[in-house]
Amino acid sequence: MSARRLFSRMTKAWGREGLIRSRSLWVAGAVAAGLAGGAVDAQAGIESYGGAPPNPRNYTAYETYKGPQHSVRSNLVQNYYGIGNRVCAGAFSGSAFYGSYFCASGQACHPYGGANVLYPAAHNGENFSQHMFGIDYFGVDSYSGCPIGA
Amino acid sequence: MMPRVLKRNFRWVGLLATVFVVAGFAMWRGGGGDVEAATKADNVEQTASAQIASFAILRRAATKEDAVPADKTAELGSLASDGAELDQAKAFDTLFGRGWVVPAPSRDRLCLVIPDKVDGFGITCQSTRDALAGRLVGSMVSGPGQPPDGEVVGVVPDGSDVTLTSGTAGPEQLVIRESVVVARSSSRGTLAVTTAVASAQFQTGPEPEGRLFQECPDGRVVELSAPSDEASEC
Repeated sequence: MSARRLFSRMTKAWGREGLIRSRSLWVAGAVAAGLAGGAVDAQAGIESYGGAPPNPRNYTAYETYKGPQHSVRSNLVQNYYGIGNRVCAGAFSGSAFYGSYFCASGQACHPYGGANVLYPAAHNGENFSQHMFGIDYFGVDSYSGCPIGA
Repeated sequence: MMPRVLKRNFRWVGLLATVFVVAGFAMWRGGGGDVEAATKADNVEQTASAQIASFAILRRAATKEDAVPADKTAELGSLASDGAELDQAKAFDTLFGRGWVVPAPSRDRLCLVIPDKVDGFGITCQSTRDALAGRLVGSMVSGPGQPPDGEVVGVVPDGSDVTLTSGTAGPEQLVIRESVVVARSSSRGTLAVTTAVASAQFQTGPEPEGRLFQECPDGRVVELSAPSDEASEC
């Protein structure tokens, strides 16, 4: 068989069976990925908090915001504009404050062991308003969620 | 009119042309990538050198105490996956346990890690420029309803001057040990850092209580009169 004829046959085959087969593969792959993603999501997640959408929100002087209850792996609190004002990351266990606040300039992150169900808390450590947001990493996730920051 | 030989081999000509275009683009991108990677590597090296030259703690020889314990790597692992060099971390003692200074030259950052006395750590990273200006400071302090207690920790460049003004006491000069200052701060105060290039101030002590809000599972936001459990307010 000449090379030209082989090329012609191949393109025809792709057009008929190959494409159909590859479509089936795509569909099967998408379903599998969706199922896998759902399974992972059931155990771990990331949630931005700080008020009803759109996040972030304005925090008045020394204001605190409790995020959703999770098995918190880490709580990242940031000034939305990257300004180095004092921000604090902490958590509540029910109605009691848990551990300590960690406060720093512009960005403060507090990872936890992950064994406790907590409410992450973002706190404005300044005596004036600032635009802030919090991110809560929770569940069985190897990534504790204290990135270096922007 | 297209020559007959070209017409017959039209698909082959098209295929070859596509291969040449794709290969040429890949080579062009690859070449550019090499230059980009080399420039980035130079920048990372320069940043690492600048950090080492300015912070005594990064210059001292590593000891076995510097190694981050295996049981803590899950909590600090995200730092490593984001560019921090945990294997270059240098340890120091705080009032509540061991902390670390972690360089992240590929991100132009220097990070401070200090322990919470109950669970976990506090982590903050500043740009090399901000760290040289005395802004790599963190405090671990009590929250609402807790007895006032806490500490403030700063990582400052060589030649810095650090004072703490706390309560009614006047400024107290703090001792810098290998770039690190650690001080108890159980009342509101100010940590003042003066470096060769800038000065910075940092509020310390227990956090005052302001307004408290909670997001309910249905998306409503309620203001709490006390740090109560969400169930009673939502």
